[in-house]
Amino acid sequence: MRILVIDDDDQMRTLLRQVMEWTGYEVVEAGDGREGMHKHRKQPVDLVITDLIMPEQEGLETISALRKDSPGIKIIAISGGGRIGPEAYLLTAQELGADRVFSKPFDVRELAETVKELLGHE
Amino acid sequence: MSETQVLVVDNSPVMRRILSYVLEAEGCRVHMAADGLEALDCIARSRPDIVFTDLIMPKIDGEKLSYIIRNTPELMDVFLVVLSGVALEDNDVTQRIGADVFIAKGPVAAMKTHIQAALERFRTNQRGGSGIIQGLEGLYPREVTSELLVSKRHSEVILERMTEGVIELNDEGRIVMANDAAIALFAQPEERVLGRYLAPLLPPPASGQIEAWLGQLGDPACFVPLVFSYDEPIVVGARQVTFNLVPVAEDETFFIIGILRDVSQRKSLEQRQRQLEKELQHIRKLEAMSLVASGISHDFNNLLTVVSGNIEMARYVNHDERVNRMLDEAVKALNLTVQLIRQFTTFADTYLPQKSQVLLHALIEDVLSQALSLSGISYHLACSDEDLAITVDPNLVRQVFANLARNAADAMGGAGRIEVSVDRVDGGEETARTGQSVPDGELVRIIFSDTGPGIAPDILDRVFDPYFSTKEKGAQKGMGLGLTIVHSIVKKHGGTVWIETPPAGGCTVTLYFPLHEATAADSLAPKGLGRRILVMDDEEMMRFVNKKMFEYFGCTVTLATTGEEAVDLYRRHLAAGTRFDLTLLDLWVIRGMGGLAAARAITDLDPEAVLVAISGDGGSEAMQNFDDHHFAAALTKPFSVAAVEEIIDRFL
Repeated sequence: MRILVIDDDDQMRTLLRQVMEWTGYEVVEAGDGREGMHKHRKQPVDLVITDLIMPEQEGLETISALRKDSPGIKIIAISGGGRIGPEAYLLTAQELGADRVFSKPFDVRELAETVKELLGHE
Repeated sequence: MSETQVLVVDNSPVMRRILSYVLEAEGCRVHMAADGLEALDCIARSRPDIVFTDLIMPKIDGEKLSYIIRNTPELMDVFLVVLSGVALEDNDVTQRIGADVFIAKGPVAAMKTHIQAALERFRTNQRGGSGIIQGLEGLYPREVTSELLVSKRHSEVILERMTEGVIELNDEGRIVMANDAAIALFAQPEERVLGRYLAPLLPPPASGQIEAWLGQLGDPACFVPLVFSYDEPIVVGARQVTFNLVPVAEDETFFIIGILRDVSQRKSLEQRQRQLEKELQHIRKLEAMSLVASGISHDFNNLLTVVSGNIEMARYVNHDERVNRMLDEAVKALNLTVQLIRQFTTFADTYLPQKSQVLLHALIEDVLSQALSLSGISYHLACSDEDLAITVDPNLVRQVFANLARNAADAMGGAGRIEVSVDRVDGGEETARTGQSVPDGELVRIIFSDTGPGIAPDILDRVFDPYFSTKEKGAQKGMGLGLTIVHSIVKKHGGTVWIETPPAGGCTVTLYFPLHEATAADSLAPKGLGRRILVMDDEEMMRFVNKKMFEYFGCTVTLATTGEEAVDLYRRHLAAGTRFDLTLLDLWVIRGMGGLAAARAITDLDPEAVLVAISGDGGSEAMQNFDDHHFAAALTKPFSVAAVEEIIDRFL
């Protein structure tokens, strides 16, 4: 199973990669939505974890594009909020087709459990 | 048969002598008084069987004296004979005064006959005036007297209608005249006020000050007014009253005029104003915090995720117990930090409350049982109606009671009791009862009290301030945000809250939430329900966020990416009869038509269109002079829920 992690923050990406690799998945990293979409199209992934506030292609746009491209793909959206508050983004992300939403800071174990559940692993 | 006791009241010594001569010859015991005030003193010493009184006298006149006699239970059946020198001119006198006999003053011989007749009527117990004035024969009305009487009445009417209380005191400080407004201020019937000393009618320290002042009036150097000014009013019952006492010299002696003004209303208005200002100051502080909170929370959340994630992983790979214990401590501190950041985001004006119908009793019970489960503190929850439901964000309202419970538990130091009562009240009545500014309408009132040491009065005003804490500070002990958050959450729900330390001890927090009856239509905040909004922005994120915010208020939102698309949508909706109530246009669009051109095109289509300019650059010429470009308002991105609400209030 392959997981795509999209986040513009290096530390965040490294963290998510390690958690996912230790949980037993192969991880592809991308610094923004455009790069993520590109990598997914070249070699499709099963699940995407994407941050919502990023430069270049916005997270929300990435979610709707992913959903259009690959209806079966699992998507987890993460938002840290900011001047507009995380709730609005997360609600929108869910409407656009994210399977689960996480608000920072979150527990990495919980994230790992959610990924396992979405990908049908025990 | 015992002697008949008669009181003769007349300011003319000649008349007094005539009357006493006739009455004593008839076997009566006669007492005499020169005016109404003296008469009252005589009556107080020994109750007469008959009172013969003149009408026009200084100090308390015959009419007032009669009124007092007829309205004092123990004097009511005194046989009252009025002798009037102006009987012919004062034609409704018999209607005004409930006398048993009226006699017009005239020739002595005639008067003597009528006095004897009156005595005979008393002896044969013929009471109740016939309305006939005895002794009018041979008298003729005098025009000058009529005119003087009219003028006297006129002055009396003016005095009675004044909103200020006016009283007259004699040189001993006794009340000889009081108008309606003054009587109302003393909150006693007129017959209980007239003739009384002023000082004992008032509470200390005013009473003492008046007595001391009266005592010095004999000294010409001290013949000056006594003033209870607006800043030091007298408290009479629930009212605050300014009081000016002015001595006026007259012949060899003096009298005193007193002017009373009820300033309670003005005082309470001023108090309310001060309270509002305090609230406003508080809101400003919160606004500043909210700005900081939303600004830093995003960065903090990112950093905290990385820190906690790495600690989790370190625990996963590490097998050294000592290191794991250290990591556990780090996680504890981290969790507190996370909580703190969460609390901060509550202040953010962009926070959208997730409202639903909440059973208040169950929610409070749940929070208290959790918060106090391991403490030595008992609680009791009394609810007028266990099914009482209000529309609130349950997570926020839980925070309110959790914070209150934590504060109370800390204050009581591990042993004590919390009492919570919940009931329904009317906002207007609560404002009147408490003097606090409580919102109008039907409310839920929650009174939360503990048996702790309470809060010192001098810091009560500050307990809602951010980072004000009576507790020892530190991440473990609380940061002084508990009550600030309580205040912020209650305000977010349109309620109000205050804290007091009752004389009986402990600390009492009173909270009010608007009561929304459990109706399905009453969801969220449907201010803009059914209104159509068009939002044009080329940033997808902004489009979605704006959509969410307007939808929160019940609006139907249509999105456009460019000016061309917005103009096209506007045209189609206009033609279809589903015109947009409000159109938001982004001024700077990277690809395609921008907001300025779109505004021109839409105004050409529909001169009545309501357009709002949006831009990330609030300082630009077009944003500053938005009305020159067909816009009704301008909003700088990113904008808050409050800004959206304001736009809805203004235009929808």
